[in-house]
This record gives sequence, C-alpha cells and structure tokens, in this order.
Amino acid sequence: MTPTYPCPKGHASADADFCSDCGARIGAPNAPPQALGDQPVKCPDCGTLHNASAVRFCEVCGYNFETGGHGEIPAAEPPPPAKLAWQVLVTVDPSLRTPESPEAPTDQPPLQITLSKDSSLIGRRSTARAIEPEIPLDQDAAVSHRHALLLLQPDQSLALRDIGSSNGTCLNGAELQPMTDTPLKDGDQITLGHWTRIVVHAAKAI
Amino acid sequence: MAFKAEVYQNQYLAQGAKEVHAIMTVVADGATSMVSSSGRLFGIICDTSGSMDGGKIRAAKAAIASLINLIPDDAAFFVVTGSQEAIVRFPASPATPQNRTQAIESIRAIDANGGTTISKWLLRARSEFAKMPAASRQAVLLTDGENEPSDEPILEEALALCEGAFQCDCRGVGTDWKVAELKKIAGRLLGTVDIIASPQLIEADFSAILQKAMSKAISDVSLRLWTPSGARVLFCKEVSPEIVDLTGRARQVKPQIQDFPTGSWAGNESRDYHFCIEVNPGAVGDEMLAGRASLIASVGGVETKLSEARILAIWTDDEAQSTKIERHVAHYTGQAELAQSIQEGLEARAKGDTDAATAKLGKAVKIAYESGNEATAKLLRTIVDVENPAEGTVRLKRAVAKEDEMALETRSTKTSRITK
Repeated sequence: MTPTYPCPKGHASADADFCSDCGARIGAPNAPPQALGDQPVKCPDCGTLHNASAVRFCEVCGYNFETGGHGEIPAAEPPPPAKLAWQVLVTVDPSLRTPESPEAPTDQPPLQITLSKDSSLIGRRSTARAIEPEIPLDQDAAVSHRHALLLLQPDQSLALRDIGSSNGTCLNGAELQPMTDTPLKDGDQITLGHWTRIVVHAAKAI
Repeated sequence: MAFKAEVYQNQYLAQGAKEVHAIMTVVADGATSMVSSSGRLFGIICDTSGSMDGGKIRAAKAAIASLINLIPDDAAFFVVTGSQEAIVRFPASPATPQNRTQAIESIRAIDANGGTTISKWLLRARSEFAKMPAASRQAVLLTDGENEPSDEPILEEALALCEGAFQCDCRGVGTDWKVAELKKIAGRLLGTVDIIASPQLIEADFSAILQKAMSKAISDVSLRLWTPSGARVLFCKEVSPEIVDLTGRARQVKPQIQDFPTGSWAGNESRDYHFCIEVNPGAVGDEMLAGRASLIASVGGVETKLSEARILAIWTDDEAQSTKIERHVAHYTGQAELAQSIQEGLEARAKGDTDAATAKLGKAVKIAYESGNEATAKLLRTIVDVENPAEGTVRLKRAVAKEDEMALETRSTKTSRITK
C-alpha cells in the first residue's frame, strides 16, 4: 500500500511535501519533521539526553532550548533601536493642474501623515476592491487606486516605488520608472494625479 | 538523457489574489539517445500544385534529391507529393544506397499541376508514419499557395488525426501562401514555420531542418501539470524559443492532472514555459502548492518522469513582496505583448489604418529594443523607419516588400532570452 500523509485540511495526501489534493503545505516550513520526535537530543550545556518532541528546558541544568539561556524566565529583549518615523504632507497644488484637468478643489486642507508601517500605500480608497491606502488621495481622480508605495527600509531610510500607476509619479519633477525603488530624502517633492503634491519630511526619533 | 527544470516566480500574493504566474525553464542535457534503438523516420511532403510550375518545382525537386542524400544511413524516409490528391512517391524505407537512388528517380518525373488540398497530403504522410510508430517522426511540408477553401473543415479533422502521429515543420516558398494557415498546421503538429523567399534557398533550408530533426534524442515528451483541486489553468504557453500557446492542447490524464504535448527534444535543447494558474485565494500566511510541473517521456507506453518543478503561492499582507513582478515573468509577458503588437500592427496596416499601425508597430519596436530582441527589431526595421527606438517613435515605410512583411508576421512569435 502506498503511504499517505495527513494534510492540515484533512485530506490524505499521496505526496509528503504538499497535499496532493488541495496543495496545502504539510508541516510548517521550518518546523522539525514529526519523525524526529522519537530521536533523543542532547542538552548542549550538561549533556543529558532528552526526548525532542517534548523538550523545552533541560530539567537537569535548566537550559532553555528555545532561547539558549538558563532558567524559566527568558531574558528581557534588548530595547528595539530607536524607531524613526517619516512624515508626509499632502497638499492640493492648483499650479500642477494641466488644462485638461478638472478644477482643483479649494476646500481640501493639507494632510499630515506619519508613516507607521513598513509599507504605506498611496492610492484611492475602493470599497469594492477592499483598497484602504495609508495615504488616501480620494479627492484626485487621476491617482490610481493602487498608485505607489512608500517603503521603509531596514536601515530606516525611505524609498518610493510606483506600482504601475496609470498616470505615473514624479519625484522632484522627474517621472519615475514603474516598479523601481528610488530612495527619498528630506524635503523631496512627490507629485501625482491632477494636482496632488506630497512633501517628504525626514525621520525623527519618536 | 537528463532534464533540468527550474521555476522562476514571485510566490507572494496579496490577500484575495488568486492568479499565480510562473516561468519554467527546461534544459535537456544528455548525449545518450533514447530513440536510436527504435529508429528515425523523416517524411518529405511537397506541393506539386499548378502554381509550383517552373522554377519552384525545379528547385524543390533538386532540394528533395539532395535531402535524400543527406539522410543518415541508419534513418528511414519517405516522399509524398500533393496537389488536389496526394501520391506516395516513395514509401517509408531505410536510407540504403539503392533506396536513395530509386527515390530520387521517382521524383524526377514530377510535374506541377492541379489544386492544393493539404488535408490529403497530411493523411497520406500519417499512414507512412504509422508504419514506424516507435521511431522519432518528423516531416517537412513545402507549399507555395493557399489551401482550397473547401478543404478547411477536412483539414481541421486531418490535423486532429495527425496530432501526436508526427511533427511537421512548414515552409512557404514565395509570397502567395497564407501565414496564418501554415502557422495553424505547424502549431498543431509542433513544428516551425518560415518563409523561403526565393526557390534557390529551399535546399539550404531543408538541410537545416533535417539536421535539426536528426539531432533529436528523445521524442513524445509531455509537460504534465498537477494543480490543486478547485484550481484552473488559465494558460500554458511555450515562450522560448518561440511563443506557442498550448492551453487548448491539454489532455486530461486524471482529475487535477493534465498533459501538454512538447514533442521531441534534442540533447542540448532549452525551452521556457509560462504558466498562469488560478487558485482558491488563501488567508494571509497560508502557503500552498499551486502547481507541480513535470516532464514525462513515454517510450513504448511506459512513462518516465524526467524532471519536476514546483509552483508555490504564499499569501502576505506585505505589499513590498506581493507587488513585485519576477523578472522572467515580466520579460516573457513583454515578449507576448511584442508578438501581439506586431500582429495587430500588421492587421491595421493591411486595413489602411496608418495611425493604429504606427502606434502598434512603434510599441513593438520599443519592446524589442528594451528586451534586446535584436532579431525581431531587425525585421521591424524592414517595415518601419525607426526615429527613436527607446520611445517607440516610428514612421511606416511607403514601399515594403511582401516577403519582408511575411517574414515579420511569420517570425513575430520568436522571443529573446532574458538578458543576464
């Protein structure tokens, strides 16, 4: 009889890696395979043998297999490096308007947004498509629903990526290549749509 | 014979997304042949309708004679000629010196008259190929004209019968044949199409086809695609060296498993495929297998799996990951757009719609330039004057040779490889 493998969704899979019926991954990506449960593991500190499926601590010396420390209370994590938050100021700038564009609204107050996520979407809200941009520009119809992303890099710098918008994105007056990341600096001006201007303010510690 | 398959994709999908794109590159690598034991049969199918009369039939006869002399000693061959009827000039036989002499003698008396009924030629060739079903089976079909309109429905049936029975490269000599028609025949029979602008070039082209056919080391390979239950294969295309849509050619093996034909492979061949699979959308954090693609060789009814690759889908709320387009996918999506722009541009040009033709062919020039498809760019320059390739600014040429236009139409589906 050919062996079958239980899939998380309840199918009997003929393949060991992914379910042969629904394609779900069998076993978490990096979790140790279940078969290892019966093999003894050695405590790296005192050398006692333990059952791998049950072990979290070494009951002889108190070694913690997950943190590598001793005792039941994990050491406090070092405080995260000071998080820097970039800010953007969204304004309606009638001077950007081209003759074909509709009149710019005059009642739109400037909007200051602090970028709290690693990735912030610039776009227009769409309930039908469940698009909730972090930087909503609903007043400007020439902005794509999914227009561009502001991406916080691991080194806390900020990059701008046009994600295939219909009408493009300009940085300091120059048109961006779609799908390429451009680093931003303090005072950079992003212009898009009919008459939307976004000014970038550099990171300050919060 | 070893096959190496690799998948290039961005497996990250945004929440709710269900389309998975992947490019699979397949490299055959192996000098050992799996077909040498069962033999090789090469078929020559030549048009002898009235329009071939004169220089064309003389050149074709000379080309066939030299082709017969070039066939390797251990291979077999046959010759079928056709007008409104098909005649087996020389039946499938080993390439012995005596058979070669007799075959060349049998074509000497051919003269050109009558109509063009391609379905009958193909069916006659099929019965010759049926004599050596285990051999590697390759034909070349040479014609110079349009198939009789009344033959169209019958040709459709004939193609259905010939699919899998043999592979066939099609060549159109001169400029009176229809590109779409030969593309259809070659597409169904897993062959190539090209124009031979002048009859003197038939001989060189034939020997290139023969050489390619004789280098094939394995025949009847299919691309097997498993998909999860509830998934749908939106398309499966060969995208390199040429765009060939295989979507409609799928054969359901079992539920969730379908086979696409890829024909025979030479020992050093490499091809790329583009899959688009629609799966049931998962929740953020879910990971699933969207497809398992394998290459299956069937030799004498026994299936051997040559290689396998996996197509994944992982749902994420990280837009930086899910919005990226993998560069192989982007490249071949562009190449498909290039072929389509050429097709639409040439159609608009034929209708006299200069604006649409200029726009479409301009776009084609731009893509060809950006993707480094120099061969297609060169063909485009025979139809348009390029002012700025990066911007795609072009002007239609006033006078264009018919053979240049047909060469562009025929070769528009040839793609370039991704630049490293």
